[in-house]
Amino acid sequence: MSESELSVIKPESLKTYIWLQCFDGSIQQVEEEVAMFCPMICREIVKNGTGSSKNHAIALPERVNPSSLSLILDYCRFHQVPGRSNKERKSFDEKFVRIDTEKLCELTSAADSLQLKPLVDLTSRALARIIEGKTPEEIRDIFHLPDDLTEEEKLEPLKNINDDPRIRLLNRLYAKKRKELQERQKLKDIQVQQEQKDERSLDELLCFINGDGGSGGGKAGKNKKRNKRRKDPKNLPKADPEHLNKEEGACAVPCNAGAVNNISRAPCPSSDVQDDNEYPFEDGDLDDGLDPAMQEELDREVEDFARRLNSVWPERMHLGQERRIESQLIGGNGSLQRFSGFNHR
Amino acid sequence: MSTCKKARAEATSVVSTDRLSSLPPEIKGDILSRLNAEEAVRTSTLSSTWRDAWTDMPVISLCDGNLTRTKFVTLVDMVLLLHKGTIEEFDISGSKNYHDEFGRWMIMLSRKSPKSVIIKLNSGPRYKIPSCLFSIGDLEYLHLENCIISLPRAFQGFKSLTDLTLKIFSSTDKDIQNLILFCPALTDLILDSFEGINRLNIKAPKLDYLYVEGDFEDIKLDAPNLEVAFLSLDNKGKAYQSVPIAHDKESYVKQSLGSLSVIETLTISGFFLKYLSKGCIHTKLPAVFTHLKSVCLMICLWDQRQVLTACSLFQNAPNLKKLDIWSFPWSILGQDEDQVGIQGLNLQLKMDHLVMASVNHFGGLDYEVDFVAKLLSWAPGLEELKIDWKGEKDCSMSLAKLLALPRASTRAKVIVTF
Repeated sequence: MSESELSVIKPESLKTYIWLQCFDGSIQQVEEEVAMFCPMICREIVKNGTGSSKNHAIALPERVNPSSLSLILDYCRFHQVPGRSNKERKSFDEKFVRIDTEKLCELTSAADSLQLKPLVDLTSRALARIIEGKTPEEIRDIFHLPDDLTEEEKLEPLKNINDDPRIRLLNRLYAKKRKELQERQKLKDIQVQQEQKDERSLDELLCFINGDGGSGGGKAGKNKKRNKRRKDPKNLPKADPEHLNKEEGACAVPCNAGAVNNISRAPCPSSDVQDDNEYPFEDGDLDDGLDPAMQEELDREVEDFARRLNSVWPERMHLGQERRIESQLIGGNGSLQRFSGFNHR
Repeated sequence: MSTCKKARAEATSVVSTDRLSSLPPEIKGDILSRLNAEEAVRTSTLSSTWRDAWTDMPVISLCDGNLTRTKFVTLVDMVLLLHKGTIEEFDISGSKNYHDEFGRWMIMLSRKSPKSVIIKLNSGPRYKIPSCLFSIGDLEYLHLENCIISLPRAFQGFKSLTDLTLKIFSSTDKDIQNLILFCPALTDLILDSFEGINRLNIKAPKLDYLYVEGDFEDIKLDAPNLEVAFLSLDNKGKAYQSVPIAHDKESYVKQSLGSLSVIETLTISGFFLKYLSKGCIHTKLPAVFTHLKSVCLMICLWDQRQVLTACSLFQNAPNLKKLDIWSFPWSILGQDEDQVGIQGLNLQLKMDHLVMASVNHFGGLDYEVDFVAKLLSWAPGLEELKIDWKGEKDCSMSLAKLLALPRASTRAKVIVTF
């Protein structure tokens, strides 16, 4: 085929390429849209105009070695395509980090120097998952860390804590204060103001002991590091699985008891609930004019209802952080799932 | 375990370098933040470069899982004392009693000015939140469970607080009102299960999302930016029992929903609709809910007042697309009340945009069928009406009635699930 025909058939020839140079001198070219996905490279192209030719290749930071670079470009190539679903992206990400730990660390470092935040998050998460649940020996093995601490040094932090004079003093002060309050309570009813007053003087006491001039906690004049705001769903606490089981157990009891007559048509709600409430209220008001037994039925039924309704709301519970948890949700549009029934497990 | 062996094999054959420790401290901190505080602190025994790595981690996540009480106390003390950097998020949850330590932990925590605090110590009597926590000026996210909220006299407010969640707590009307009032940036508010609050007064100009579930007598809501609201009244409140006062000029609907001009999703649960149906029921509300697309109602369909209130809501929501009804099942309460329901009310509504509707907990009773009949006649654009059957085993009579109902929409499908 002639040249002109080729150029019409192959649209790739119309693409622009960006030239990148690693610290070790090797140069490679990559499609523009892929390279632009990296903020650092994007800035270089836009601000400094580099990268358009082999002679003016963009100099990448030292921490980006060729193998990490090719991985990063693979990542960018996949994710810069706009049409992919969340599910696809998540599954790509999961496979992407299944590399050996050494490469993973290098990748993390490289992604950080290129300021590719989503990849840094992904790799950090993967590294955390590797570290999680392992003993120090295992971790040292996996990451080839030198075991260069003495046994003494390993125990130090714990020792410090128990000996810390501040802690011991605080303990004693609190124990004393508590005893005083208890005694006073035995004598007469305590007003809320009194309690507040007690606390404030304790605050001041502690400040004085710790050498602060001012009264009450509050802002320390530290140099705060301007850390980027975490977009991690820490608010979906990891502790939940335990509490969830407790709730399922607690849930089963009232339901069975209530299923005596036709009155209770509500089936036991399965716990899609993320809150671990075990209502500690006492049923004090049993003389509201309704028969106590019925009152209990009513109580239980309304709770059931409310819980059933509430259980479709867990995603919504953190609306403000929807963007935070977007990456964690397995596909699906959180808002659509809200009322389309329950996810019975 | 096999990774260990592989790693050992690699170590003998290849000169392996410790790449993990050469990561910049922010990344190390990031990685450790994703672990439980216990594990993060344990990394201080890994190697010399890792001694202090954890003291910089921006997120501290403490959970007393399988730790004994004393061990957990030691851990929390250690973390709060030795942590050097700034704390972005502090998260503590536990199922044992830490009342003796709580005060000093709060003082130590407030000194570090975290941006986000989550406290879920769910066991034992409620923890009184000390005044030092209320002086963390930069707080952005606050989640407290099982606590007593008592504002200090000199409370300046949380100027940057956007998310506030309080669950299982006691407080007073004034304290909660002021807490919300002095957080001008509040966008998400959750108040779940409370004691000691009779009149809820929520004034929050930037509020986006509201969830209230509890036992209150009265609620006043002023949130012009609210988009999603979930309002539920527990039956322990007096509200559900009181008989409507004759000539009660108060409009509870106006007071609670009147300011919500941009609301998109509204859920009314528990006995809240009963509370709304006391007093004046206007057919025309001051604000027309033009953005209201989805409504979920828990309603006693045999109670005419509640039905009227619901209908006045529909009338003021011309663009309603989705309606979910939860039908209160009992006749116990209905002994003194009209069991007539919508029958006898001459209501003509136009629900032109209604596309999806569902009636849950449907028992096949007459007043329920009547309501469904009206619904079908009001919605010319209805595509799907789901009925979730929870009644007697023999549903043939009710199904027959349902089938016979005329429909305004030619496309309407009536789907019954069991």
